[in-house]
Amino acid sequence: MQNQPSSPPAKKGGAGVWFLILVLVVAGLIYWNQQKGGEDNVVPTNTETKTEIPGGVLKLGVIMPLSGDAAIYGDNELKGVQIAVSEINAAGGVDGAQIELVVEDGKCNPEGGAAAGNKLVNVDMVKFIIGGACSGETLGFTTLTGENQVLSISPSATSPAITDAGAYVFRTAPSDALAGSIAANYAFTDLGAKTAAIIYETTDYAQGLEKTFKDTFTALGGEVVIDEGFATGDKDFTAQVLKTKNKMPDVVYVVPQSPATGILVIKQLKSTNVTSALLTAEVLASDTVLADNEVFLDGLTVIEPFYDQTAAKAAAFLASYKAENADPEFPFFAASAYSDVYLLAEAIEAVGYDTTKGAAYLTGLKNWSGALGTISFDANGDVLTSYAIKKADGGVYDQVKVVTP
Amino acid sequence: MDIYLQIAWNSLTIAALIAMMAASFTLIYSVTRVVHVAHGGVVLASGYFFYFGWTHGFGFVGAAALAVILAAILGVAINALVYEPLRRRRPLTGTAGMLASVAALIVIQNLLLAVWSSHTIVLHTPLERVASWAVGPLVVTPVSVLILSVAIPVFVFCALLMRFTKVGRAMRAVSDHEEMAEVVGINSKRIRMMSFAFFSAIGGLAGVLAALFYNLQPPYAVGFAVDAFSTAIVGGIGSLGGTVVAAIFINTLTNLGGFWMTAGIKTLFAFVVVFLFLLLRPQGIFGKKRR
Repeated sequence: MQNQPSSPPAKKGGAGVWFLILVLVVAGLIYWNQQKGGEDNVVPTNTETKTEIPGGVLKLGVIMPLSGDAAIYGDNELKGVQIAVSEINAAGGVDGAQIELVVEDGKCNPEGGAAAGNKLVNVDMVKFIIGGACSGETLGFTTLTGENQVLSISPSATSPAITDAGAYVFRTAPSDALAGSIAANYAFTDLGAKTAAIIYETTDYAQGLEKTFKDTFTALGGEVVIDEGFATGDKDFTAQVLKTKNKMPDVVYVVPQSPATGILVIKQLKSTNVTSALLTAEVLASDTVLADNEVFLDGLTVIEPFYDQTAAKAAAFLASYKAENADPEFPFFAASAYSDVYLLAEAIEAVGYDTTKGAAYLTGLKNWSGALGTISFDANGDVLTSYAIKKADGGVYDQVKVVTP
Repeated sequence: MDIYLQIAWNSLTIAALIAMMAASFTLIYSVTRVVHVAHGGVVLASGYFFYFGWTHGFGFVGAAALAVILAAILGVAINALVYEPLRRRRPLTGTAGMLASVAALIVIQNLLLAVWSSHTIVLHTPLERVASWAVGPLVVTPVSVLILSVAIPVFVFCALLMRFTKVGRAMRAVSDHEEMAEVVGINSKRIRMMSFAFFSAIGGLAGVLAALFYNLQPPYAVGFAVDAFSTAIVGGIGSLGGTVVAAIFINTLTNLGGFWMTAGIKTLFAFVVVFLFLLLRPQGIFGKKRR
């Protein structure tokens, strides 16, 4: 306060000099970057040969939730990625280049995904990304990666919106356009439900399921009597639960973004004596989550992508996963992330360090055999799979049936 | 009609829980003149202390006692480390204390994040195995009975303490006029410390109940602070009775709103109420009108 009068003149002069320096540095950087970009551009114009991996090191971006409730997915998937990378590196790398991972926290939301994508694309200059784990997170960066022709492949983002997210976006988890309608079909046909309640988290993933379930259930002749959302981070679901209890529908379809909120909703449903059949998506389809919450989750029916853990490649992967880590909560997601690294490595070995050719290569890939079984991509970069319907009984999930759409 | 009875019961349960946080918050303010928003952090930390005690073999009551004691210590520590040093420079009124308190809240939340990570912690206590009771058309959960049977005696106890005990009278004296209280021989610094200890313990008790009701997650610290602050505003800052009435009023309204309209936006109703009160009746339900 006291030395205020003396400081402004000095500050003014100082600021001017600093501003000038800033302008010069920025201008210099822009000039340098353009020069560098110009040099870089010379190489890819040669379409005859395979584009070499620059610097002999293949930088692979990874966008996963590493904090928050969804970190459970990021944990499983990152371990899957790391196992694949160490296997490939030990076997000599991709075209002789060792893979180096650049991992960013996508926080399972669009803002986090955008920030992570921005950093990977503009700072680390990666051309290939594994991720994101969540749909919102993935949709947060697909515009940016599409503009920069960065190829991404997601192990677990299942929102139907990702189908149209661009030519450079792939995924090895099936779109929920199917999962929601399979859930609705099962509720209406197998359970004989005529009325349904939907309680969902207002995220891209859960809203995708909510919409497809509602459309299919209504088309079949059923009635959705309650359709209530809740925001991520909400802790009190008494209003949603009470409305459900008031209508007491035949089935309640609960769609959380992460296991923790799902458990809380089901806990409140059960303690309010809602006796409807409970149906949910893959988020709660984890054996470890079930084992920890046996009391609440008993009788719960889950619908998840079918995944044969006993097939040779799947079993081999799970064995090496369990050798280094605790059992994965979501084996499908871990195996999916593991497969994604192999898919990218194979594409780069086949067509070179070129994302446009890589995208064309993946689109044309049919009956690729890996830890997920045999998969093929369609023209939109989506994968087709069957679904398993399981029911919690005494702390374990029993498979009720497998549905192939 | 039955459903409205259930809404009333649910609202009462949540109101009791929030009123415990808001009452301790508002009484701290009335004695020390600090807008102690870090109280939300103390409340949540207590839930984590309870979780720690419960998973380390303290037993249910033992873990709750541990949590309440640690919450009281945390409250006293914040007062000693943050508010008292500031107070030595100038009287702690207005925004200075509140800003310091917001900083303390953020520090607590991040410490909880660092120690227990950002995962939601689900408390598995024997309570979850007790089935809900059907009382006529009402479904009554064990946790809601526990909340009400703790909260009601706590409010009665607070009211009696403030009115009839020597400490309570001293607290009110400091609240009314700090310098005058000093003149008649009350050690105001000691009274401030005691109110932080006592009301943080009550907040801690609310934190234990909240942990059983909502599970545990670091961002709840801010949520609890907002709940306590807004309820205290509507109730009239410093008024115990007003805070209880305000909690029931706000929560009944939000639950009814959630039931009639979409449940996802029910917190909106709470903020509309707070806004209307700030606009039309800034002194709160029972608050004294300022000149």
